[in-house]
Amino acid sequence: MVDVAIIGAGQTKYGNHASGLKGMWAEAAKNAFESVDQNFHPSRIDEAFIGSVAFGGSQLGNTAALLTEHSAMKGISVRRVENACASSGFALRDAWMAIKSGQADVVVAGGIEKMNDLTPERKRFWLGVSGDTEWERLAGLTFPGTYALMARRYFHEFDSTHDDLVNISVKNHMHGFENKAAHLRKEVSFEKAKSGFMVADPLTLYDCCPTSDGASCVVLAADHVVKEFTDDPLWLLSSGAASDNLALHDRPSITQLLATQKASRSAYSMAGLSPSDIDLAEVHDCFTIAELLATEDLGFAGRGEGGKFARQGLGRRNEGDVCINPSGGLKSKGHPLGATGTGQAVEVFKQLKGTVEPSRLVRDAEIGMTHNVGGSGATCAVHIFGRERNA
Amino acid sequence: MLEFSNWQGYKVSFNSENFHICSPWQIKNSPVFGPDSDYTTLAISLLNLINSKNIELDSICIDESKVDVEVLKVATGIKELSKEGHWNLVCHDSASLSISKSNSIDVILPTDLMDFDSEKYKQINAAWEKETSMENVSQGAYISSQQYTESLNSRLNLLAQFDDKTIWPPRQLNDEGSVIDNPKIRLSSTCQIESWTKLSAAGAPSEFSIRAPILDGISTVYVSFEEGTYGVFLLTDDQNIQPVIGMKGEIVVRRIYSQEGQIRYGTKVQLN
Repeated sequence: MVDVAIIGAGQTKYGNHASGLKGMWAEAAKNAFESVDQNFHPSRIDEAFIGSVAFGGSQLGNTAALLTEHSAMKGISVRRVENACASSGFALRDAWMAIKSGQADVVVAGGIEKMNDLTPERKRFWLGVSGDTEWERLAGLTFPGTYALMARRYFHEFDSTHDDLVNISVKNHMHGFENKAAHLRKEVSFEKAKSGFMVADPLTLYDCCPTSDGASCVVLAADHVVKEFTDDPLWLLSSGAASDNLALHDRPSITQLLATQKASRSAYSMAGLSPSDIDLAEVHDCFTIAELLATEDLGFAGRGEGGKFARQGLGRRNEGDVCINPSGGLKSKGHPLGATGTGQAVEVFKQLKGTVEPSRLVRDAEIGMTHNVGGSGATCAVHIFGRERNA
Repeated sequence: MLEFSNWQGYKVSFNSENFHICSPWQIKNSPVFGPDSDYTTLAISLLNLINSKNIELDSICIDESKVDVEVLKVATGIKELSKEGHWNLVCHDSASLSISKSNSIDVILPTDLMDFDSEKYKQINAAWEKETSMENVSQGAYISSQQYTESLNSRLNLLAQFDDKTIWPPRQLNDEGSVIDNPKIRLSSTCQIESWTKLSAAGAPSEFSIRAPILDGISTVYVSFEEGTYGVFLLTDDQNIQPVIGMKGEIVVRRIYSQEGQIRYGTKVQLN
């Protein structure tokens, strides 16, 4: 079976971006191409998978064809991948599978979203249509509401309070403060995060990620061509993915994401690794409660112990066994829906290759993970990366 | 004089030949509709009361200009309406409604009504008018009239399927790939609060963007039914009460939102 490496990765800064879709994608692609160590030319790309929710609907159809046309990839096989906020996590998986199958040697996976050129009402429209529109949305739920229901239930079932979520917010803002690509580069105090504007009780503004513009792109290569491009590839050791009921009311529990559990079990098994082997994880913290649940569902904390994990600061950079969201996560780095999954891979690529800003490097990291969730957990893609081909 | 009691969030009084229902809200001693009630929701609630008393209405005459008859039929199972029935459904100006065998009905009003802020009342009515206007283009998720109608029976009557366990809302195929039978089981109308949230106006779906600021946000509950299923619902008339996990609630029919000039009705939870 072919092994798959990441040979290049790049992204735009997340936030309010002056460029439109074509400009943002071209910037991310160019950054990814230029990050390849040697001899790379876009003509070597066989396939491209681009994740996007097509936010705003300005290019709902043939998104990938338009974007690749503007980024030196004209003529190759392309498609848009849509799985809500997990769109580019699944684009990465599709790219990995294309190489694994032997059909392609060099593949691009990426994602893009342009969110800040819309009115607040249209933003809320697009943010809400990835949930169960017929039953949840007409019960007043957007994703802040959905995750708020999870949070309150979690506090009821386990030894945890909103203060645990505040700790997560403070940590991620601290991690993102020195990340030049991050949307919200500001540290926040515990007191400030605790007293934020109530968005969906009990979640405050500091529990919610921002709506960001952004694009991200990674270049994958089959083992037999890697040497042409680099002597120091990052290996994509495994890919796990799963789905679950779209609506909360159809799930047996709302304090765990079964799709995350299933996808991570698959990824760990394929890589022959366990949670204790992971040095850093880019986790899907669209809301702070989502990170708390993920630390449990990914196996970093036991069931019901995610609050304690956050309280004790075990996910802080260079303090615990695993660094959770060294980029600042969705909370601080930002969340341009379709770009988030491959944006997480960009961070892991740079961390494990030691090319992030020195002040925020996770020391001695060998194994990294990305965890990308669609909606409130209907879809999930988990990837594990390693400095060594066989971890 | 008949005594009033509470029923599905409204005030009701009745004897064998006269049934009366009234909004629990008032402005200056005159009953007014709550933020998501109208004659249709009053009529559905009163007919549910009559059904619960095992009284069969052989024929009923309804003021169709004030009541959404199609929704009423689905929600109550009434098959036939007549222009001259043994029973008359009469809408009164005072946010109340009667079903009676008599043609002349004395309007009686309860005395223990709750005060509704008059300014907020005006704003809510104006918001509904704006939202229901054909010129208003909803920024909410698009749910077609066909899709709305398809699920209306399950939505309004809490009709569930059974396939080894009770299933609600309805699903298509089971784990074996077989078609699940049509919904036939009516869930209990009481539920238990398992979680809740109150969304700020800025966090509410765009469907509610006109009314949510007036109501200081909207509240949603995640509830369990004794049949083993779960659901999420908006709260109704929760201005003076906050939910608590473990609290009981009752499922009632209310206005949800409006799209393409049509008011969409659904079920909400009234906290007990």
